[in-house]
Amino acid sequence: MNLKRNSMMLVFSSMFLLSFGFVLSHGADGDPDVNQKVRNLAAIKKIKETKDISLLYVKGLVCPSCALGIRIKVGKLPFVDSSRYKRGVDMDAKTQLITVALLPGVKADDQSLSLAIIAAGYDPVERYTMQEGKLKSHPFAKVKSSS
Amino acid sequence: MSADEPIMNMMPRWDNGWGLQLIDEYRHESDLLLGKSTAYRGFTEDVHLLHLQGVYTWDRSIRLTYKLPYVLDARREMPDNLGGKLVEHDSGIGDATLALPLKKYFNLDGRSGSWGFKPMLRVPLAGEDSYKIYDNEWGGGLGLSYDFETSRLAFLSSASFWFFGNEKPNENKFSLDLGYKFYPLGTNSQILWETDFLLKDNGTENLLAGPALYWNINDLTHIRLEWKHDFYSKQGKLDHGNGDRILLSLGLVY
Repeated sequence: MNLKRNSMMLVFSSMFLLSFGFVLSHGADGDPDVNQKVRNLAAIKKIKETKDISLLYVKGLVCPSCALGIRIKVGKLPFVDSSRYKRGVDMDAKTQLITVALLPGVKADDQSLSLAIIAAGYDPVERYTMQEGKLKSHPFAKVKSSS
Repeated sequence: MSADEPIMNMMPRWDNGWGLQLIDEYRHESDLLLGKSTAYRGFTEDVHLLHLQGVYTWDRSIRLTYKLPYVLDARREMPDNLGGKLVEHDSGIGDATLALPLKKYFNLDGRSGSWGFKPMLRVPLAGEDSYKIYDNEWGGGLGLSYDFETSRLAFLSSASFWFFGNEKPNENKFSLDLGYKFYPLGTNSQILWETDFLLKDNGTENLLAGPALYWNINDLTHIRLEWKHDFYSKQGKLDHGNGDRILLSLGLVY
């Protein structure tokens, strides 16, 4: 009797969690107030105002605590100036833009940046630069993460 | 609380991350219940526990956690069958819990979350006293979870199922946490409302709920204060109920 009851509870709660989660995770892709246009404007402003940075859009960043792992992983990269911002990383949770401070005259290695962000638990989407007065995006190659 | 994972159900999410959490728990139960009825009013129980918990994140999909409780002092009043009260005590190490949380994360635009599947093992370490806070029995468990967060909201639902071998009744636990985030003085904080429902094979049913406050002070240090009240208590055997519990947690991650 107890085994039957436990099995029913297990099935019932699994179905509840699965269905509820499915609806939530597939219903909408995030914050409707933050579209690509808002992100682009923020990116242009950041690049014009700040020197020696790499500006990235990273999916999944939603609060300052999210940047903790990124600071730990990205802050160790040899081209990052960890004396600026917090361990060389600044984050805007609203636009999900990550600003990585670079050592003067040093170019960022996109693959190292991408792998460090994935190791922190998030998904890098693209890097931004300004070319001939226009914002240009450089998508990161899709790297299969373990989860 | 028992379904929560170190550290504060959140961290570390990064590869090769470590976390340590210390929880000071105090609970007071006001009456001795049998079923939904108060069998002995004013027969109290006071329990003071210290939980040492740790986590290692292999990568974001695999973690190893342990929970080791220590009973600093436990005291309960039981009927002595002569019309008076018999006072019993417990202290010392409790039963440990080892778990292997497996998570599938999803990162969306402005929202992030995970699905969780967690095999668990209860390891009997508790000693003998005049009564038992921990039952000194082996047990196997399974946990399921789903959580997500946005820049303002946090949601966590979980269910766990424990199976024990001998006299200890099997347990089912369900938790639902809703949080609102705010960012005072450049820090990261969250206020939550947490609800736990406990169901045992012997007929025991408890509904606990209350607020919690989480504060991320800096990259290393996280604090959480939690209060839960017994909103509904039904005891399958003569046991204490109608109480409150307060937990203060300090978490360190690196």
